[in-house]
Amino acid sequence: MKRAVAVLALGLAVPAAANAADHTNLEEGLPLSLTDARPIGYLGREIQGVFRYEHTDRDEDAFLGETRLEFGFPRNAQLSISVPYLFGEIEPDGFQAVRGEFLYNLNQEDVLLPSFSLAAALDFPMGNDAHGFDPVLKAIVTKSIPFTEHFQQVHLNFEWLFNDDVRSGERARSWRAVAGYSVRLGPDTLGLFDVVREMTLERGRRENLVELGIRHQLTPRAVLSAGVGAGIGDESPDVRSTLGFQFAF
Amino acid sequence: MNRRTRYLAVALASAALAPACGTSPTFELRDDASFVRGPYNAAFFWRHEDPYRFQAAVHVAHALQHDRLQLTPLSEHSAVDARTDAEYLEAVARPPRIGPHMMTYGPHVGQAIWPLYRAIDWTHQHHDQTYDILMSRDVAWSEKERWTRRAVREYLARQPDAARSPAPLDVTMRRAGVMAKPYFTLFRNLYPRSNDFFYVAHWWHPVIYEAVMIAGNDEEQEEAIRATHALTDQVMRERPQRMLLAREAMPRYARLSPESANIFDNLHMLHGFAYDILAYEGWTLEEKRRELVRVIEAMSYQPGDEALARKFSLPYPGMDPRVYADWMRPAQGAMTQIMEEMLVEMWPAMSPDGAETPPAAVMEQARKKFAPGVQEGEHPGSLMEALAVVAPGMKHDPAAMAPGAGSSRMVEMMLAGWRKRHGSMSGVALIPMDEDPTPSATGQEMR
Repeated sequence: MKRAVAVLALGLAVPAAANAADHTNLEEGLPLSLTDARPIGYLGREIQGVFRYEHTDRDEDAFLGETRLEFGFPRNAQLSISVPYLFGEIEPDGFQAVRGEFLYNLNQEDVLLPSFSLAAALDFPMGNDAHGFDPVLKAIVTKSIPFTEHFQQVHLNFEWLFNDDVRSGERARSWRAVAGYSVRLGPDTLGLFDVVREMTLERGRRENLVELGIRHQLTPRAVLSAGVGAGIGDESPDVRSTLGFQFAF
Repeated sequence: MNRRTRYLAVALASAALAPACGTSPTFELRDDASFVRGPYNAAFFWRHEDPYRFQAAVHVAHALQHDRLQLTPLSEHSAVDARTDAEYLEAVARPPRIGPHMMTYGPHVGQAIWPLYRAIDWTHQHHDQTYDILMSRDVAWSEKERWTRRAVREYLARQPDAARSPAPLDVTMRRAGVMAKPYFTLFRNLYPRSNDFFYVAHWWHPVIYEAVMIAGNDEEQEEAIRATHALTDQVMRERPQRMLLAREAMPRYARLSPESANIFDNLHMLHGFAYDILAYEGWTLEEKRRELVRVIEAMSYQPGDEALARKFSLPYPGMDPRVYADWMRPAQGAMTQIMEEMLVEMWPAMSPDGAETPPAAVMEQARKKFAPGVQEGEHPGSLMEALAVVAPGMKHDPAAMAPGAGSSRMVEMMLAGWRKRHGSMSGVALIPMDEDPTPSATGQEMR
């Protein structure tokens, strides 16, 4: 319990005086796997916290706390660094690979053309079972639905991870594909839905997940998010629920 | 189907879809920027919740109006106008907590004309900054001017092409040269309820600044803003018939930061131009984009604009923002004066008989077009269409009326006219900010 509180504090504690995240700008893990092609604004600074519970297909209770710092630099791009911490009945627990990521947005969408972003990341080994520096590539596509006043977007994400130090029972590469939809539910609230298909690093394992979530603008600088997901198929987590917080400072 | 055939099919499908959408791919960058950091951030949100939420509702209306005009036929303007106004009143009755970005309530136009939303959102960010600075207890009264100057500087530097000019509207409106365009005055004439809703908003914004300017940093600020915001219901019932300018409705703030006050007017006028253009059905969406991009550029910062910032006069320097004064209501005011001056300056190039000044019938028709709704004796269509009826043979420059094009000759005539009338004025004097002010009793003339 003490560990859970500590990780919650790590994930969710923010400076009291800090401030303009944007609930319409999707971020991975906040609260779904889905993200959009839009970076945060130039010279933006944001702290993000994720707290996630998962009941795995192996009947384990797993908790994840993650803190992420994001910077809008240079223009049309963002840099981020995230530190995840895993605990509960799952092994290996403790700190997980620290990810440094650079995302670049290639274009603003128009009526026909979606917005495209490319991201490159590197997972740095951290924690007891750490090994290898794993490069990651991502392609993100976002398109708003035209000819309607109602703000709705569809998103496609594809991510490849290259396993730098392959161990027994691991694949050399993994990938994850996410297709999702976001819609304005109110002036301050966005609804999200996605479907995730992941080929994990563990050899022979594939996960499928359906997720639902909301993002709510709490203050001009803070966004709260919550989501739930259910696995489909034997190798997928039974259930996943996520709470997230973003603060622009 | 092999790969090459598939690519070809996609390219052909895009080419076929483009005209149907009235647009073609733009391949532009988003070029968004974050807000400017300071000890004052979000002070308005935390200190004056109800007024802050009213402003958020106004931003919903501003955003929605773009798509409403683009996605509904002009022939249904009366019904659309009534429905839209009702939705705005509903938004005011149940306001959001936070003001949305334009894209959230006007996504279709945002996809087609991103530079418009970029300019609006960035300038709304600037307004947030300047409200926050005035309302922050953490910024001493004597420090307000310094922080406001920094906010203006960052606003202009961080997104120069999205920033509105700090030059007076008299100058930027002449640069934009929109009065001869086939869309000018359509929104105010055919959608008067929605238009007048925004005239309420353009009363509200400056008088809230001004409430702080008469009350200072202490608890008197709460009382002055409460008393000013409390007028909103009355003003909504008896809406102003013109866009009030900063120089009229926030004279003290215009003396604190003439640059910021002008940016404020320039954004409000851009809203009006955008709505006129979107209401016009003679152009495709791509042509509307070209025209709006031209207008945005013409009204953006240009070197030397700072030197013009103070060149306007203050018709009501001692006004009380806590009073909805009679002079705030009619169509005639500083805004209409600018448009009348422009028409007079353009006339030598338009006159059918070579006259230097427009005849009384032209000025009378123009005043009708400048007012919201359709007046008795007003001719249908844009300003130029109406003037052509009362001045047969009036000269037009067809090239200057085309989307994305302007008449440099006409613009130069108007700017020369402005220089002649106002160029030599010394401009408004800056307001002393050394002492936190104390408001007088409501309705009394103040400094």
